[in-house]
Amino acid sequence: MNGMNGARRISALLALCAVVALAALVSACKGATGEHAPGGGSAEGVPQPYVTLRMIMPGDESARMREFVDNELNERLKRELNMKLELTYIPWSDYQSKIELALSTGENYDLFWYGTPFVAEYKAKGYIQPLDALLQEYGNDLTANIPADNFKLDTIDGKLWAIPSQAFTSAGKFTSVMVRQDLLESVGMIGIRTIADLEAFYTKMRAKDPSYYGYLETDRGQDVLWRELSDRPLSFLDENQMFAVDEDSGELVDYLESDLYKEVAQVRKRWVDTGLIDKQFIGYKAANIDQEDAGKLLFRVGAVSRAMENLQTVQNADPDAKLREYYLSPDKPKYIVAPSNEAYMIPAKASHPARAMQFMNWILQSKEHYNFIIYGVEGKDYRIENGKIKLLTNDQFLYEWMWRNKNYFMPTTSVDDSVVQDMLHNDDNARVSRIFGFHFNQEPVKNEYANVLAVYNEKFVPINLGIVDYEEHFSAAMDALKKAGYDQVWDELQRQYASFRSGQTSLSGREESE
Amino acid sequence: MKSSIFTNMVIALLLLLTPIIALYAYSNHTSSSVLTEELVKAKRTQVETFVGQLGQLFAQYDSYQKMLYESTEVRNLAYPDLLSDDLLRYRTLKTVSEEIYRLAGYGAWKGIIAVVYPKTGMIIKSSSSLDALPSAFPDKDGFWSYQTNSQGAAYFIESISSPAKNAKGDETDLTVIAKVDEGEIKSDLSEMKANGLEDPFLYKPGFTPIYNYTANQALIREMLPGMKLDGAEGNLEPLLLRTSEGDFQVHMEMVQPLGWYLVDYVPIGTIMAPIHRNQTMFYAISGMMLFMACILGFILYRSIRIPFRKLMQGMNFIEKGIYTSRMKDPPKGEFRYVYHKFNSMAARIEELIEDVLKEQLRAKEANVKQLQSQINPHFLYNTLAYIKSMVELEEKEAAVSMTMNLSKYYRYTTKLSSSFATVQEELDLVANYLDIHRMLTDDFEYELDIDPAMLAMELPRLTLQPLVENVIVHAFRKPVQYGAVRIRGVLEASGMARLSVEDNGPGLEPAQLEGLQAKLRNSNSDRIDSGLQNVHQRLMLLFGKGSGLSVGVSEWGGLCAELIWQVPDNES
Repeated sequence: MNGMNGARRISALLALCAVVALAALVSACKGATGEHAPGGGSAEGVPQPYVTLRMIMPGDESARMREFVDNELNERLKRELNMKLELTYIPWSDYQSKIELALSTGENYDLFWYGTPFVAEYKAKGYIQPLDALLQEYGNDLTANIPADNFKLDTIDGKLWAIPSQAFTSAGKFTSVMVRQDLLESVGMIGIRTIADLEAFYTKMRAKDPSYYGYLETDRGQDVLWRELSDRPLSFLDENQMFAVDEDSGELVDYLESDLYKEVAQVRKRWVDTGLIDKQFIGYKAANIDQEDAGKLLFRVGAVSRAMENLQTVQNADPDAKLREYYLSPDKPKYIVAPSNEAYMIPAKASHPARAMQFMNWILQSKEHYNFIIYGVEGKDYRIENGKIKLLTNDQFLYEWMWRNKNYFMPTTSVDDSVVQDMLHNDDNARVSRIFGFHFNQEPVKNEYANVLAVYNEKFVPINLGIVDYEEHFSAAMDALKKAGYDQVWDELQRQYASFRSGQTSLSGREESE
Repeated sequence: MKSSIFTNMVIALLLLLTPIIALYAYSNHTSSSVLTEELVKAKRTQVETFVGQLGQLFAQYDSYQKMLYESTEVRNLAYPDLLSDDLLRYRTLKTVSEEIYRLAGYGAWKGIIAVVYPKTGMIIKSSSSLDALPSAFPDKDGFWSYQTNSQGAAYFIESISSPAKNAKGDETDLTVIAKVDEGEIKSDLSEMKANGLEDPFLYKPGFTPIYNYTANQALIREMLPGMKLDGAEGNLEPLLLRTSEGDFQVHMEMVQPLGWYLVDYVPIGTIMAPIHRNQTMFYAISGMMLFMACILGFILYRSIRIPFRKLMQGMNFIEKGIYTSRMKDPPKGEFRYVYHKFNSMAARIEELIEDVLKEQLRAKEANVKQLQSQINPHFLYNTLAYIKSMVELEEKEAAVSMTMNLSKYYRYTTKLSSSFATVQEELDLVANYLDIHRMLTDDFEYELDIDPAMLAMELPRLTLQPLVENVIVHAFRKPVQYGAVRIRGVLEASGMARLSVEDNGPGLEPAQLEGLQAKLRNSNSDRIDSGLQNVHQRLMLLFGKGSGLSVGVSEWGGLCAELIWQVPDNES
């Protein structure tokens, strides 16, 4: 019995040794492989997992922005939102076509910006997703800093489709003209009130220095001229500049067939003939931006705050440059078509919609976040001096105008106080447009609408640009447009607008009766 | 002890262990070298892959550049006379500019593509930034060259012109430019770093390296002088560089379109980590095996070698006659049993040897007592007085008989040569003795009734006589009646021999009898008080337990003393 016990004891001892050896080996292996604990040091409350948020931005990315996103911004976003921002910049001139290509082919971007007028179209095409639930859950700081009225603008069929990122003055947007004020003053002029003033500015400047270009922005700006040429107050209804509304009567206007269109075309033709619009550049859509960036452009369409926004860029080329916006016939009223023209949308096929909302919310979470993403690192990229932002670099970060907010806004030191005052008081005495909140649903006539657009681009754009004569080309162009289904589109538009108006009057009637 | 079990087992263990460890060492060595090779190869493949990607991106811009260069619209724009119609010119420009945006918009990089028409001053470019294009273009056409603009921003640029521009000042109609900013490459390097490279940078001798955003620039600068890029077709063996921060394996691979090298370095420690792990495991297992072998040896030593040696010592003691030697602290296991057996064997031997010695002592003692009783002067006076009287009475026969008895008696009792005698001899002595006493007193008679088979049996000398003497001395001292003594010998079937002496004397009180009996049984001590005790002890020592002297009450009421012994097998 003792012998057996002994044998058992020895075998137990050997087994123990084996176990010890095995344990030592296992721990040795662990020691070697387990050095890098995954996800080291993630703060509490940070969403999981770590994702890359892909966002589309318009324009050209500055070198500093590239570096900033790669380093400071993404380090911070990783820490606070556990995500990485990947920006894809698409040049202005190509923005619409590229973005629509990306949306229709289902490239998985998570967030993009565009103008408010596109929201209805993209919603109808199924490119974007409703945001109510996401806003409710992640957007506290968005709703706290953006007026509720602005959200109505992007609400269609009772659902929110975009975040109206800008919350600032907006009346008469894109109906002003932005002028190189320093050059204007250099030829002895003070301001711009008429088309004749613009032409005089060009002529005088051209005589002084022929290297400057007059006006190169040809895809919009017809309504800039309306303020002088039309005796009725009109607002464009669509981004493609085919239809308008009479703010007095509330009636829709078939703009292309109106005399006003003819007058606008004739002004443009005159500008081409006098060289105010340089024929050489027509067709090269980025030319105006090239020349503006190069400090060689005299004026272009304004956007309430463009004089402030673009100053930084133009001063890169010409440190003495000054910009200012003017309205032709400045005594006529301005209309608020959209209190925020800036709309951030989340594609229907976005991989991380919740993160996109969290990111937007993060921007408006505090003044510090806001300044960080718009002006960069304090002390390195900007400084605060007397309540103004002193820029230490001329490189653009996230566009200030996209997220401009009344609660956080600070002017930059380089901008004249007059420009800031213009902007802050832009909405004084402004009126709300008849089409505020109206969205044309193209769905019932989408084929006709697409054809109409194609014909318009081919036949009418050259007339708009002033490179062909209105008298010679208009009737053929109009015939082609009608053949493409213009009347159906027009009828549908009228029908939808009528129902929009009836809903509006009954609503206001009820309000009054109460 | 040259080949004890222990040494044999240790040798067997070593023989078993040596090939195992040798084989293991060999396989470990092989796997380590394979692993090293594979790791280096893997790292190299990784670097090659990234180089391929970089090259691919540059090649992409090459092809965009050529597409534009060969495009009819692009060429037509160079000749304003061809496009006299404003509408045609508008459409051509639109097509070209859209084409440029399209091309620049694809791919991972935001490189810049531009068509420059020097004669008209027209520049169509994919980015409107002021510094999108440098103020001066390369002096002559060529593939990617590395340039720095006035602000210090670096970029790679390539150009192709029509007609070809071969020297500064050559007039061209159009030039197609592709440009990639250093920032793009830095960003790409940072991306590579995030995707598995250690700390990649681009390097070309004579230029400042292009680092990734988080590069350890001081370390890289320290490495640069050690890097030999002797123009071997971009395919370089990994270098081993020693720096203040440790040893590094440096992998280099040329990005073909650029002529720059993508360099990545790995701390030897990192790349060799799996191998070190492997080796640590090898040492640990080998050590463990040796350790276990040692433990096994120790166990063998403790449980076999030590107890065995102790046992040998014990044997030696016994051999030398030290019978008191005992095994102490019995180990656990089989040896405990052996120790116990050894101890009981030694005890048995000691006991036996002691018995023999005691027997010799007792025998001598018996003889001495016998001699004492023989030289008892009364006995001798009485017999001599008897012989004198008989001679005086001229009872010649009686005198002769007494003399004969006396002489036989003395001859026997004084014979010391042997300590054993047969039953017959003992009976003869007793008969002589009794005859002498009967002649002297004539007040008893005796009777011998012995199983003839017993007569030749041996028993210690002078064992019967003390019983008879006891009868004469005690039972017949004060005779009240005519005495009778009967000596009877019985051999029992069980092999026990019984020789009893009975008398018809007064006997003993039961209590006295009890006391005598107890005295006989318990007298294990060395001191022997009486002859009876002596007899009992000698029988017991000689024939074992169960043998000895027993007293009881005789048939006639007197005492019955009985010698009982186990007949040895050879006598029965």
